[in-house]
Amino acid sequence: MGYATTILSLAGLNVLFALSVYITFAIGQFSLAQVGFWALGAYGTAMLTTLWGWPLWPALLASGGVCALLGIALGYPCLRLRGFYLALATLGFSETVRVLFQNLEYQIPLKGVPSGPSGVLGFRNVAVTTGIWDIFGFMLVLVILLVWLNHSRIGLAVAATREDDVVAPFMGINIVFAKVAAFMLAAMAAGIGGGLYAGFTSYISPDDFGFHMTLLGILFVAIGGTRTFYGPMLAAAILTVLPEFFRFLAEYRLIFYGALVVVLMTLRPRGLIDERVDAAVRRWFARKPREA
Amino acid sequence: MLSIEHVSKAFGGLVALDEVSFHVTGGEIVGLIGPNGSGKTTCVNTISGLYKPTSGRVDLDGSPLSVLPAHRIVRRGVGRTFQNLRLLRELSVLDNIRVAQGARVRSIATWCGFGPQAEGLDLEADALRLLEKVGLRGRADALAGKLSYGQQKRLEVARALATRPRFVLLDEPAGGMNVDDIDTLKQLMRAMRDEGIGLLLIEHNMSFVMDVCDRLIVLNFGKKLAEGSPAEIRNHSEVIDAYLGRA
Amino acid sequence: MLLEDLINGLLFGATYSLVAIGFTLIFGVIHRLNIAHGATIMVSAYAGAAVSILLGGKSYGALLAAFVASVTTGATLGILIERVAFRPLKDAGYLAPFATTAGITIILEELFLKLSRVVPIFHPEYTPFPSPLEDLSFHAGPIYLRGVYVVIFIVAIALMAALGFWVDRTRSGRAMRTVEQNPLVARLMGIDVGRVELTAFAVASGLAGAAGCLIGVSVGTVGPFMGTNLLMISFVVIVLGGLGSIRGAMVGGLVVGVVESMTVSLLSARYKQAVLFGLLFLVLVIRPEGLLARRAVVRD
Repeated sequence: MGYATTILSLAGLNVLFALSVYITFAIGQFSLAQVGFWALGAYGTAMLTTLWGWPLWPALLASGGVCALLGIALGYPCLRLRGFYLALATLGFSETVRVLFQNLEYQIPLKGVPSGPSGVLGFRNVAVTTGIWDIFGFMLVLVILLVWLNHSRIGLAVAATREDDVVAPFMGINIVFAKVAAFMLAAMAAGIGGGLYAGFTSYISPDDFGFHMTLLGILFVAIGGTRTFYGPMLAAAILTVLPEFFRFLAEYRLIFYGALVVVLMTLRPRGLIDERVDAAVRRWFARKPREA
Repeated sequence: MLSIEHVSKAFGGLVALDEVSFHVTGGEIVGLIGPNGSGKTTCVNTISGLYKPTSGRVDLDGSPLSVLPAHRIVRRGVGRTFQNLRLLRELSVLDNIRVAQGARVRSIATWCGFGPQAEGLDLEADALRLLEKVGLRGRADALAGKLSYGQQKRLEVARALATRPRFVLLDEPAGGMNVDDIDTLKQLMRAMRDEGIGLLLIEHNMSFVMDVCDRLIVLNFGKKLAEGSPAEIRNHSEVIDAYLGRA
Repeated sequence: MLLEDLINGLLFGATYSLVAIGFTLIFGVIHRLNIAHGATIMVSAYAGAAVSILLGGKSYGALLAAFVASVTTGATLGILIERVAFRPLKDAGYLAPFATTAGITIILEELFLKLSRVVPIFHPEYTPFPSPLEDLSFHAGPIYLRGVYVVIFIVAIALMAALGFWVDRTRSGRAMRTVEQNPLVARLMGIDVGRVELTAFAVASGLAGAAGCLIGVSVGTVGPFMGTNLLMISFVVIVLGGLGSIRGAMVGGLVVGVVESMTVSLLSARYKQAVLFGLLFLVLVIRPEGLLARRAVVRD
């Protein structure tokens, strides 16, 4: 696979992750569960494609579907949690998933070689089934969905719930449904993203899905801005592609990465796409005159 | 008719409402008054669904309201304003109305759509008319957070009206208003009453209450103390005692 | 045996208390989470280890010097973090400092990963933290207690007592409590809120440094990613004790120490994390404000 394709694919995967984290932020929930769903999707898809020969998309939809159901199951108890506590509970979920895979040993012989998840050692030789168009195709679907939701009445209800979920019910909004639906959608997006990730890297291990991935998710929405879906997308793309230009820094790359994060955040405290940029973009798109 | 029957509300050991009963019919303005801490806001919060009553029931035309979640109560036609203004400050004035109009939307297809026309309703035109009524038509695109205090209070009322309620609970709508704004508010409330809406008003501004209300209900320490016309209440000895702290 | 594990867990739990107290102290004053708290512990632990190694590592003098090095490193780093990651972002919402402290964590962890490979007295992966306490042990009847655990417990309790004294009895401590409850009123009373915040950071990070030294000594090694693990554990502690509550963090740390120790002896070390986070989940679902919080959230 060419270098450019690899980088674009990685960027695409990070963008998908950023989108899945954004979805719950959009409705005002600070959830870190998407890492857990990404892991579930990765292992689920990897097992289906590698061990049982499923084609990519049925495997993705199956794992994504399971994640969606789990997202609903997780969303309900999380309704009563706010802010830091919600972040912690969802972090707890993701960590529990990781520990689960640290202890999962399930191997069947493939062409004489035992293959499958082997606990801490991870899952080697996952079938490489993800192509760059799978990643960008799914991204396009998500983006279209988000744009559509944004412009419909649902988008208004989401913005209202996010801004003030105490008054939102008094405007007729069923916030329980809205929040659980957001959890479900985020879980499904993360599940499919994780599956695409597994089919791309061909080696997954529980350590991939730990606290550092959680930090990454937070970085994407913090740097990108939580007002729009394209902010975190942009942040994910920049944070994936930019370090490539600094490959010459070798082992200092990650230090540079951390410094980049601090600098970006200090320059744009409300994110790359903050209220002003968002308003300007909206104005640009709404250039037709208003009917009186 | 909105009927509150023997409603009690306790928070742990604290009894905020104690067997309160009264009713509100369409086309009247009822004032809910009483000293601080008498349970007025708790009463409104319980009727509107923010709290569930510990005992007793709230009915709308005979069917139970208190078992429903808040958003369903709004859809049945009971709207409210908040004393400390819960506007969506980051959204435009018009968007605040649009969100509230969602309470009138019945089908999923409408939720998914973009158009102002839906289910035979011209929601956009309604929204603009509503803003016209409260005098905010010219500020339709301004951010709600940037309005003056008086304008925000009017938007709060308009937002409640956008849900097409049959009853509106107003929690201290006149607080902090100047004389002109108060007059506008009185006109607005009378117009609502004349359209057949029933209003329940919590207010400390006594001259406002006496002028605009058809009927008064007095609470003290969570219990209903008295009920009657403004003239009757004004001279009611127990009410006077309660306000002066002699009760 | 069980009682032994329980007591050892309790003793070690005091270090968790120290870590969590620092974290919750910062939150109480500025209402933001310092994700770099873990990295602060790690850097301070390395500082202590370095001093101990350079001084031979076998005398109590070396240990004391190492402790002082850890505490001062922690406090200094804390002040730096406050200036770089929090002060410039005062009006930027809660997410921004999350990101900057995460960035700082990445920088520090990678830096020490590199240093541990390059600096001669360090080792890649795990650098030993020598101390005269390694071979110390006590026997209380049939129970065997590692001397190290007893010592760190005593030091930790002493530090917490000192903190309690500072918070309750001194002027600066009371100023800090005022800022905690109402920053605006504090300002109106003439309290220099900026200085209180800086002090809180210095104290909290100094405690983190102390914890780093104590943990390094009792575990025997330090590593570049030790901070992250400790941070996660302190999350559990804080949920148990209630966010912002120092006393809650104190008790919560001991509880977590016991739970961890019991899990390792009754089940296996592999399930340590799962049990702790399962516990966190349970507590959050049943009583979100923390087991030890005095005021229950009015749920209606």
